[in-house]
Amino acid sequence: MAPRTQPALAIADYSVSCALGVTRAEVAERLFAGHSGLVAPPFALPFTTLCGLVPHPLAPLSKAFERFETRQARLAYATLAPLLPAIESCVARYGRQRVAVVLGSSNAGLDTTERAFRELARGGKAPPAASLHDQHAYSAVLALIEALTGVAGPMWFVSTACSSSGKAFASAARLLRAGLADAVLVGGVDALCEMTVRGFRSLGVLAEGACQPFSSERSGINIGEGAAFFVLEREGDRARGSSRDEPALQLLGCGEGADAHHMTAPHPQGDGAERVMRAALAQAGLDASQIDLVNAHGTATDQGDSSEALAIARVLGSAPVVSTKGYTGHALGAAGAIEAALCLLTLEHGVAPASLGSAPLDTALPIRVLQASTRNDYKHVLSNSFAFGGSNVSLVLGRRA
Amino acid sequence: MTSLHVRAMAVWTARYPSLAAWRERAASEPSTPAAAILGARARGRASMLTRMISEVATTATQAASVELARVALIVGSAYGEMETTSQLLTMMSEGDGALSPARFQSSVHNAAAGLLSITTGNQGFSTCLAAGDATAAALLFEAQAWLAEHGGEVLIILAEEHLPEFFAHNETFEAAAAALVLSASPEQALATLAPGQPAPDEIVRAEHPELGRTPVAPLLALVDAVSDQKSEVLVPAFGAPLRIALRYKAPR
Repeated sequence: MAPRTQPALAIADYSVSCALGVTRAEVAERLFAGHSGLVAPPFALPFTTLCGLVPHPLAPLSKAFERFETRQARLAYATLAPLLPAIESCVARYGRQRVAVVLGSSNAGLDTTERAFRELARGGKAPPAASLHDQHAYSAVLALIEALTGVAGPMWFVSTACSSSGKAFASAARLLRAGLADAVLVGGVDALCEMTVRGFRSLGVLAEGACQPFSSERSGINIGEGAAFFVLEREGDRARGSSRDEPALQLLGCGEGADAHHMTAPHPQGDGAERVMRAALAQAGLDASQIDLVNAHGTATDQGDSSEALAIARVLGSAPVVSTKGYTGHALGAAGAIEAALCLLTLEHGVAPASLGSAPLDTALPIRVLQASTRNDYKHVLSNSFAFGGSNVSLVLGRRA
Repeated sequence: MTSLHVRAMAVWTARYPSLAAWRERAASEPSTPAAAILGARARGRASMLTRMISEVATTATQAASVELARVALIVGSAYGEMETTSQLLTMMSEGDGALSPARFQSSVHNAAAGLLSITTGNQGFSTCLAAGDATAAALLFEAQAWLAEHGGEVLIILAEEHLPEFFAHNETFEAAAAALVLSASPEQALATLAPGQPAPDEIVRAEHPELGRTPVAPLLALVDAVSDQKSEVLVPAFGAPLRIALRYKAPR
């Protein structure tokens, strides 16, 4: 084993909402049974596609918080609720100033801004200034979380398009290691917006049916939505504060970097992807042979899948590879966090999902794609997220032996 | 806790297009940033926000003698590419609602950071943060945490363009950008910042008498405090404002 360059961090608790469901149990059941969450979009479009929509109605915010009302805020609230006891425990142990919030998002409150703009275009009233701060802006969800939990440490959104919430983990980990916080609520949230569906269509990379990552018939992505939140603490602190029967899940390493190649196309050989995977492994102190499963970015675009496959093959050889985009769609700024949660479900349940939509496999890709759900003693999972602007991140998550 | 050593600073606003003009309050006719580093083609397509970020990134790194092609980059903006987003919203409301792919790819919060990385060949760390009025505080925390782990230098930039008409009907501020090169080493430092102490009894707003209620105001206040060799500055944050102590090698 290579020497660890940074200490592991404890994931004390986590929560996820996505196209597969709104509880960990519901998501795990559908994920491991191979059920896709992709459905027809909830708005009219002049073309055909599928979206990864959260499958249940999201409860409105209570009266006290209604000024923050957006689908983004509802997703954040629904996903935060199960973690309130864990956050309360952190506030009690460390103090409210020592609990930070670092989240990723690409859209912020755009879902509501779109509706307001459409109303304005029809001759209605422009939204009040308050909606800029309490709904449209990234900080709206931070203000909601501050009001709900009382935490008062450093708080921000990372917004680097589709790598946002993967990079939120790296940012949160630095805060903990630098001693600038004692616990961090980390994760990501993005609600489905018409603009992103139409935007990916304009780029010619939106699938008409269900996406098919790593398949020879892949034809583009589906847009998804959701949120996943995690309570991150230093390992020693967590050990002192926790009961013994809790899962020993860990963030082991993060790698960040840039392609410096093109705004929307990856480096064709996956050089940038390779660098962040190697950096994440180095930080985790793991050899490539110790990675039991790769959760690929795998959006099912022609170029994206082929460049990532080349990079995975160079770094991790024949490690089994899964893309979960066929279940959830691509949740953009929330994708890294949602997929980190799916990786933790694999570590907890000892089951890896089938890479849904991968048949017929693209045999030109030099990787081993898991085509059936597989039971194993999974200990270390690597998860990739790549974004516009060539922004790349790779995470290594683990289960303490 | 790691101190942050200020190696260089840069400011751009439409009427004060340099740090010197800003400091002297020597107002000129409103202009747009040269953003020469982007090259004519990319500059022509770039938003005001991207041009401002490119301009102060270039000026600050040149003043600090660090390479933009290698420096770690932390960009902050509370609202991001608002003008481009507004253009896309308009396109969506017309005809069949088709969007321009060039506009769509330029609407992401990291459009400027991505363009700078591609233009300079910087394959290293960059990130983009948003935290409303607390965005300046977020940049300082992220810079502190990054330097604690990696050493060297980090370039922080905070920028906001005009709000589009959609949001500007009852809230306006002037476009502005500020940048600081922060170092883990005290060598050649203009000032040393010791950030992070909450000041619970203080109320500080992200507001500037000339520019309006802009999230850039706290970083401009920090630039002014360093220039005036003040001993502390308060920066708005969630919870309570941050009290940042400033030290100088040779106080006046």
